Amino acid sequence: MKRGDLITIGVILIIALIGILLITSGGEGAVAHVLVKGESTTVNLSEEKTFSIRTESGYNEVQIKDGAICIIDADCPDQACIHQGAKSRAGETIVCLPHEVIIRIDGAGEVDAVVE
Amino acid sequence: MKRSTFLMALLLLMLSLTGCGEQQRRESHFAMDTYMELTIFQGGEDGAEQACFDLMDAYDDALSITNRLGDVGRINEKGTAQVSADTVSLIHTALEMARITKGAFDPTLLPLKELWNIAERTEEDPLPKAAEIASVKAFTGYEGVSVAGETVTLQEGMGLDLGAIAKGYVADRCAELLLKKGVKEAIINMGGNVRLVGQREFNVGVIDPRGQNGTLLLTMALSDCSIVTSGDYERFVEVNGVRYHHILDPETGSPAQSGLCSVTVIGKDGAMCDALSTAFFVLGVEDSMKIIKEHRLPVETIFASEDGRVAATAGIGEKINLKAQGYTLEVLK
Repeated sequence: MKRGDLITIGVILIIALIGILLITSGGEGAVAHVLVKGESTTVNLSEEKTFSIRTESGYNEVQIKDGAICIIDADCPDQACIHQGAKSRAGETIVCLPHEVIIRIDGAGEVDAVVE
Repeated sequence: MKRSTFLMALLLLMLSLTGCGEQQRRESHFAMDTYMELTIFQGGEDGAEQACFDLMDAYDDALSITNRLGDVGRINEKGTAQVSADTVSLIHTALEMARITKGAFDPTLLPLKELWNIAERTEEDPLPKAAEIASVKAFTGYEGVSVAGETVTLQEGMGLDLGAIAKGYVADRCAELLLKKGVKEAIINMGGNVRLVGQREFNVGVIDPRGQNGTLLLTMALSDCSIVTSGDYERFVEVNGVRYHHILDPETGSPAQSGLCSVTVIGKDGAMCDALSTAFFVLGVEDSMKIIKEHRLPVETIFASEDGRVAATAGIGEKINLKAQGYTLEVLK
């Protein structure tokens, strides 16, 4: 193979690597899916806002701030969704069981599964 | 550039992209008072996920304490009932776990659980009093469960609650079903109870029990096993600045105080891991290790204490990558 060919291959591999890194990283500009009883909405973590999810089971107040999303208030009995805190990394989730609300940040996480 | 070189470059590009964008199938389901996420990485015929969720629903019906028509519901309603062989098998396992742990795991704490449902109590009377606890405790104790064939009988006033063992058991049954449906590699995550399916090694994280916002305590690479954590950091209520978590000590009748924030148990038997994680949280490091050795239990365990110690059994100690600050890792002999 000629030197010029090796450089071409090298450039293509670098472009591929950048592509992989862009696909798998989370952080600012990342996107979260909010699933409420099976219905999904997408929110952008770089757009700061607070919104309410209301179903016949009750309500959850969600806040997006500083590139992270969290449930700041809810009327579920165990408040576990609030205790889970703010999430910002790819693959992380917040779950409110009684209200069947799942918030999941897009992308592949640091680990394949989290035990808790 | 020559055509052959271009084709080689293209091949290299394609090879470099196979690592990402893997064909994962991820589906989720609410049942058994929990959120279940199933991710299939390889194999699995069409309908494998739904078959798994249907199985979970069937176990939910049978084992739930709120379904009066299910196996557990009927036992609790009438004090005695004839149930399925599957349910009997799980009850036998639960009683065995209770015996091995000298009652630290106990499937008859339902009356105490109801007493400690702080959310249901009034502001003037938020915590159960000692006398209340003592009188309710009289109606707990795994020795009060008797099994004859497929008939299960409880002593008067008792209530069966398999909640601390059922998820581990059901995760195993789901894993068996998925393998039958041609799944080669998958992860079952039932509300934080993780079951790895197949021979592939996965990177598993354990939550830092004192971390903010779900940061990880540690990661480890594992395959084909169950991993279950019991901890005081998610389901709790604060009254007058004191935290009351949900893991009751059968001996005191109150939330366990063994100095531990979380216990993680790893093994091939999900029901055992589930029951032991609860028992070990109640017992603390020393007594748990005595039981592991006495019964040569086929598990590895990681204990995270309030004083910042992470103590792990030898089989898992070397595999641990500690991630959180402020903890020291100790491998137990």
